[in-house]
Amino acid sequence: LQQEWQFLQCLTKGLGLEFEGIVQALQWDFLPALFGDDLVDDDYPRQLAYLPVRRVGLAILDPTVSTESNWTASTVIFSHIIAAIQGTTAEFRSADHSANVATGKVETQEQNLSKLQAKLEVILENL
Amino acid sequence: MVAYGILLLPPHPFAQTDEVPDVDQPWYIDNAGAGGSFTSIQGYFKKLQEEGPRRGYLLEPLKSILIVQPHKKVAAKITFKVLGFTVVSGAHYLKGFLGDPADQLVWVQEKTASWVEAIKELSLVAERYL
Repeated sequence: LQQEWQFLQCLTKGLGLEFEGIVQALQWDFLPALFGDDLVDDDYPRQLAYLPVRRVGLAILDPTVSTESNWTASTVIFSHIIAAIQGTTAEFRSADHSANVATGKVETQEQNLSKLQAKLEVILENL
Repeated sequence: MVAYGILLLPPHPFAQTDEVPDVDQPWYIDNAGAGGSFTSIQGYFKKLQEEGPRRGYLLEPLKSILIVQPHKKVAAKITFKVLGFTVVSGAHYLKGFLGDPADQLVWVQEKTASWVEAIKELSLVAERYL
């Protein structure tokens, strides 16, 4: 499911508010089903659930937070092929496109990991 | 699917040269698209109907969707009546959406509503297997 809405966010700009229902369902249905009904908003299990597995989380992504970053990452990573389709670049080169995709993916992953690491540190400090 | 896509390659370039020069043609495997004026799209579709069957590409006009600006819907319906295209101001395309932002919003809301339902169903399963 997460892959599906992330894909949509990559293709469509400015959808943040439309994903509020999903966040509500995660907060009030899915996570309580895993951790029990007595969870409150800032419980540690709930905060940890949004971290990646490598950061002791469940890799549940908040779709209202990821909207803009997914759209930006997608447009940057695929900028070469987008320009080719729009006719704003002289020529499409497969090698340039592949290089863009590889570099963009690594940079996006590093940025996301560093944000999530910071979140984990905040949670650990407050324990 | 990849092999099928490669087999279909020959019909692609014919219209990219000088025969129908003013149509943008995004192809994804056997999903053909065309962007341009009504006249150009008609010409392009006619060419595909002529060239496609020789390469095993059979067009189905009744499954084709024409996305136009809302104020051009009537003109489009008249122009493409013979071909039987479905004329809309917005439609999903390769997992995304093209067209009128208002239509897009409705489409996104339908999708998110289905995901919300899926999460709730998953929650019921999670409770059962904890």
